[in-house]
Amino acid sequence: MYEAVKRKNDPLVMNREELVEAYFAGRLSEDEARQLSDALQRDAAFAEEFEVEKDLQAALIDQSKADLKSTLVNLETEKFNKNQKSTGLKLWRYAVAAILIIGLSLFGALFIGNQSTPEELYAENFEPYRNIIAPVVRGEHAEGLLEKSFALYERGDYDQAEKDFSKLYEATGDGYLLFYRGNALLALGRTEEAITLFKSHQETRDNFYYKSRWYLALAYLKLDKKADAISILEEIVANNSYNAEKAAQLLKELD
Amino acid sequence: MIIEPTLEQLRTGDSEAYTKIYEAYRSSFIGFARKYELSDDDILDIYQDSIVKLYENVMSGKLSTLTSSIKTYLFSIGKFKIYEHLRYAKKQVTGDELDFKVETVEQAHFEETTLSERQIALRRHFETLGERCKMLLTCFYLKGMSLKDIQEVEQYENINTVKAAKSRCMKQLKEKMIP
Repeated sequence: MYEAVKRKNDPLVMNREELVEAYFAGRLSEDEARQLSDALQRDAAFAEEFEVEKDLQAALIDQSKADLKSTLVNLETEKFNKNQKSTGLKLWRYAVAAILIIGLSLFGALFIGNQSTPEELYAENFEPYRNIIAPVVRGEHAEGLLEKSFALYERGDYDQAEKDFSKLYEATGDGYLLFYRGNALLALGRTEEAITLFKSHQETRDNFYYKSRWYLALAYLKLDKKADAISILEEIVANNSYNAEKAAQLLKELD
Repeated sequence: MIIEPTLEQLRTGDSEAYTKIYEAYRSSFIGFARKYELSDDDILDIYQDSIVKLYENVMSGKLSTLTSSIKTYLFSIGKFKIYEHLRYAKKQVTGDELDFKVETVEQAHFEETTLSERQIALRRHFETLGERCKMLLTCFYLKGMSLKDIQEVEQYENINTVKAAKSRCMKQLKEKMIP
């Protein structure tokens, strides 16, 4: 009631609550934005409160980004998987791929005489997943541990990066660190440890889930656990998830 | 070109609005991205991440007015991501080749964001709140619903009950943040 009266008396002045509400609804006018920033400057406690609210907003956006990404991945699988394959272009590409494979296997049969071992296939396919967490800005010094660890990772210092990821995970509990630590361990040849990490990462089912499945399949290849690798690769192909084309290729070669 | 949703519609965070955009421009994005050395998996991954970035920028208010169509905005995010990807893969590519203006203001909004420690902690503790609190705070802080709308949709008695519930939930969340 009080607010209604107040607004009637002075339509230009919104109270703080209303300003905050309009801010999060994304409908602050320029004038209101000024009023809000004045109020924030005048009152430190209000400003601190508002910072927490903005942080919460950022956290919620981050969470829902992961949800949207999985929605899109699923949409891709369900809706486009079949259509894609029926288009002429796609068929043409398959034909070329088939000819190449036939050609290469003839070549292989003539000159090598045997197929690649799982470990060789691993070596051909493994490449640590790129850093999309903390982009390294050229010519600038990394500040926090997060930036430092990812700079090490990009540089190929997996040993130190792995240790830092572990420390960061202890501190933050952020799932993607398990994924990147798994990648660093794979690169270091510590495959069994990497497998444990990918498995616990996959329990979080975050943005990196499907990528994590791919790397777990590679890790099994490295250990010559063909059956385990094949079952994950088949799942990747069926879902048309991350690296589905490469997975299909690997399955053929493992056959 | 489709009839694009308005920013206001996108602001509600309704995933249908975003999947509609995804489907509408998917093939032209793939066509565009095939000019570069990218696998189809990478192209789709980049396209999905571009839609997610659009979502993030709308929801956080970084994109508050559109000076172009959504398609144009989406494709500039995509271009930026392709550029980043190729640069990371150490393939030689310059901004020019991608017709990419390096000094745009918008570009700063295309970088991947990282959460601060407090934001990470908030996200973790938020998950441990009761369902009703989670719903209420999501409506207010993420979807940007007014207290009045929340009262109607979530069936609170009146606006004051919503306000009281909201500050109780925030208090709980902040208490969890104290180590």
